[in-house]
Amino acid sequence: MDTTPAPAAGCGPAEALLESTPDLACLFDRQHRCIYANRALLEALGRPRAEVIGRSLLELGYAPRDAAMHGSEIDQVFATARRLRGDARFHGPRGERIHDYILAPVLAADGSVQAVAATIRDVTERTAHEDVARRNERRLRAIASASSSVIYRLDPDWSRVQVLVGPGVENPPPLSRLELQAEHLHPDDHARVAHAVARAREETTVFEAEYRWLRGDGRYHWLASRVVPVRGDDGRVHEWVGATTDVEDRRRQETHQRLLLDELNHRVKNTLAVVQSIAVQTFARTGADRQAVERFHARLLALAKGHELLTASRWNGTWLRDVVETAIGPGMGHGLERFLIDGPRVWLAPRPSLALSMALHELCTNAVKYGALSAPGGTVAIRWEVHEEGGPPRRLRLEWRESGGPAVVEPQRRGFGTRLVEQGLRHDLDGEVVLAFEASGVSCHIDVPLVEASTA
Amino acid sequence: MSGNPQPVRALVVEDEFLLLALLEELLPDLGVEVTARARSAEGAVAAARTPEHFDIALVDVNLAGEQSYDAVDALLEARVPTLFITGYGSGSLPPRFATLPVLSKPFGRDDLARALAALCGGSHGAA
Repeated sequence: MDTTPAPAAGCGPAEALLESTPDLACLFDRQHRCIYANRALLEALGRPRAEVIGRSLLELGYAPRDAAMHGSEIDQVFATARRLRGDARFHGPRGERIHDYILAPVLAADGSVQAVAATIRDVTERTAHEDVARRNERRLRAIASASSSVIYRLDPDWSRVQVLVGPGVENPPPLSRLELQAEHLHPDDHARVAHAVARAREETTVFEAEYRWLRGDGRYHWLASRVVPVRGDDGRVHEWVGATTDVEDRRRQETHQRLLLDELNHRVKNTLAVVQSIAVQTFARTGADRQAVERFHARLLALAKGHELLTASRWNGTWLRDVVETAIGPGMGHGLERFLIDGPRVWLAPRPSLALSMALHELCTNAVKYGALSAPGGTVAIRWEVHEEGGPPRRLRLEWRESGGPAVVEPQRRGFGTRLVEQGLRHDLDGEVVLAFEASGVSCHIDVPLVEASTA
Repeated sequence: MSGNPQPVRALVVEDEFLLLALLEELLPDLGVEVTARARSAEGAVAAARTPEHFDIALVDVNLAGEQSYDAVDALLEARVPTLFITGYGSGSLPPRFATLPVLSKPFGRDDLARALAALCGGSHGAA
């Protein structure tokens, strides 16, 4: 390369290249003076060529420390005839820039170093992008490791899966999803997972599933996965990203809890049966009123059946219709044909469920003994509605109405059954109850607030 | 049932005296007499070796913490009509017992009558 200072307008292709590149280029002599500068450098310095050529680094505006550092680098290239690379901050008219530079020797015919050529690339924007990218990457990894999940990506067609963050090797290669599943997924879970995958792909929606997976310890663990589609600017799904967590401990605890609950329910029922036996033995030996014993039995059974309904839902609650049909059902000696049952689906929390079980049982018992169900043609209508007026809580209004039975006579004194219906619901559910002994048939209006139960 | 001169003879396998007593109290009205008792699975298996001593068997699923499945297998082997008494849901029984009647605790006279009817093909349903 020609080492004489070049004119502004180049004449050869090398000059043309130097003048048109966005990189900064210049030549330094042994005194650290600039003996050539291209157009990009002049623009970066914000000076005309005349104020650059022949000037030292200090004169070009470099801070004394930077000028000294670059000066010694230039000395080093003169001394060793070897190129060197570095990066540095530069304060110029465009503010602080980050320069990535190469210093290379310009050799004379005898091999001696004639000058030092500097090519400088402004990497400020790239560095900023890289910083952001690196920060995001670190943040992503922190999020992933904080969540204790394995994070992975899937091809748009779910054919291959590649772990992004998780234990094991860095940047593992993508693997065939189906081969992984064939090897690890529990045979009983294949159909369910395949169905969930098909649905997520078809609807481009979130995939969610729990399944058993053969892990390194040789045992199947329950895993929970969520996979979401990642769309590009064009709206198309470019890939899917998923997170999978080992939920074996949680599942085991749930199973354990279920077993405990089953055991507890079993003991409760067993104890109720024992109480029943004690009652039978006690009353039978004392010659007590056989009817009273029967009633005691029936109430104990009504309570047990109410419990059983709740047990089936793990004490989350019950459907009102189930409560009604259980309370009036088997044991009353009448099939459902004597009843008209009508009302919307209503989910009851455990407390109202049990209270209504007991109240309906008493009403039914009374109907069988004295009311509509004591006569061949009598019927009972049980209707309910849910009212929303006045804001929450919603109210359940249930009507029990007997007809076709013998003429009703108001009882002289309120027995326990009547008190259970009238006062029990009032007390337990903060409800209103109107029990009427009309000649045409007994009726009962129940109006209770519906406390929202979880419909698990 | 009182007109039935030949009561049905029953083996009751129950580890709790009060539940056994309850059955002994309720069963005679339904035409069933308890002629054999066992309080453990081993006792029930032993009783199954002399099936001529009873016509039916009522077996609690849980005998002092142990399941009575082996005993019921032995009774079924000996062709003794058997029903389960349980405080667990009926769904918790092994599939091989799916056709056996189940009496859920606590039970009333009607529940017992229904279970016996299912066991004996309806001959006790009228109780």
